[in-house]
Amino acid sequence: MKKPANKSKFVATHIKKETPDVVTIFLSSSGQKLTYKAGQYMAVHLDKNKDSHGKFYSISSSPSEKELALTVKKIGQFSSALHKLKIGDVVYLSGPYGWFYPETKTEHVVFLAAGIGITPFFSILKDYVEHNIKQKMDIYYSNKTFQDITFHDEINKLAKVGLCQIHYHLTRDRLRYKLINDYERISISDIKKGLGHLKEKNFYICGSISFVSDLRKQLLSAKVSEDRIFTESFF
Amino acid sequence: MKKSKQPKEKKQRSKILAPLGDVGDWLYSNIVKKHFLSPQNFLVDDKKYKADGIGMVGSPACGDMMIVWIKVDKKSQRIKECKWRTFGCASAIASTSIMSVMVTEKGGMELSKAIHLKPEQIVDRLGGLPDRKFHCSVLGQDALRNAVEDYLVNEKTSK
Repeated sequence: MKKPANKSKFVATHIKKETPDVVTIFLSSSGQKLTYKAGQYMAVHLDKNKDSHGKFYSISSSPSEKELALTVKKIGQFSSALHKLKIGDVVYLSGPYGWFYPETKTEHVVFLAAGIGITPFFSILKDYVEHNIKQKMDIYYSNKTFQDITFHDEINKLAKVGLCQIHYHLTRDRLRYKLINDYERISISDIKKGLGHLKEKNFYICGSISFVSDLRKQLLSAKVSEDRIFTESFF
Repeated sequence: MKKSKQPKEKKQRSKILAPLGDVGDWLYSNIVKKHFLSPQNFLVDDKKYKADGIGMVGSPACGDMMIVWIKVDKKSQRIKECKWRTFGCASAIASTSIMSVMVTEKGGMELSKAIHLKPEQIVDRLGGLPDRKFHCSVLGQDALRNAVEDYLVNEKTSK
């Protein structure tokens, strides 16, 4: 039986502000380099000795990057504490956990992300570009406003290299921008319109519990098989 | 007929609980209550239980620990028994209880399907869970996935 992972010490080496309420924390460990798969997440603990699960955060770096990156949205007490981290501060991580990544490289994959739910897809996209994996990929990415789009420029660059199609949605922005495809929530009719049909595609949904639940139900109603739907809800 | 007035206390409680739950002013569905009060496939003592795969998540020290034991029909690669134990809350108990039913009913779930069982499927079968309790459905599903992976590793090494 695989035992739950131990906590390892990591030091913040660089902190990058992505949007008004999202930061990426780059972390390095003096021990062995962490092995993980793009799409997995870590448990973060602020105290080594406290016996708590910590909080879970998807990894936003790719496995070949030197440092581990976690991209955190300020939502509650714990994420606010992470936002206050300074270079040199210590956190304790356990993991990696999760199986939220394409298991085969042959299927057409459709990633559906809301807000900070983009993090596992960002890691996967970078990993694919680094390894020259030419899997057919579409990303539907929904945010409230243009300034909330995390990794906007990086994703656009990666998309060009990785030959993936990005479909941006903004739900609460009155201004109009280049490259934004829609000003409503992601719906199945949008996806159908964009992809032609929903057959023979694997759908990966990541975001809030309601976003994931709504889109899964819409996909099931559109006769997409449960076996082709993969989910990661942020809570 | 006179319309009965809602007691003040109940009104206040509804106000507090309504935004938290998905199933009206009572936080949990009747299915959750049923599985919490009469958990299915709960294993009290595992000393003599010979499982084909074991999965564990969380830690006993912090309470939210979950262990899942599975027995697999080797010919059909379906789960024939799924036992579990947790020190988690009512939602964790109900989620894992219903999950153990889901993977063993109708001749048992194929391993290839069990490995991809989603928390949302568990929540659907429970008739909903409040968002703040969603993680409880993830605990059981994670432990099940670990148990299946454990079985697959054991199978490989025994060949």
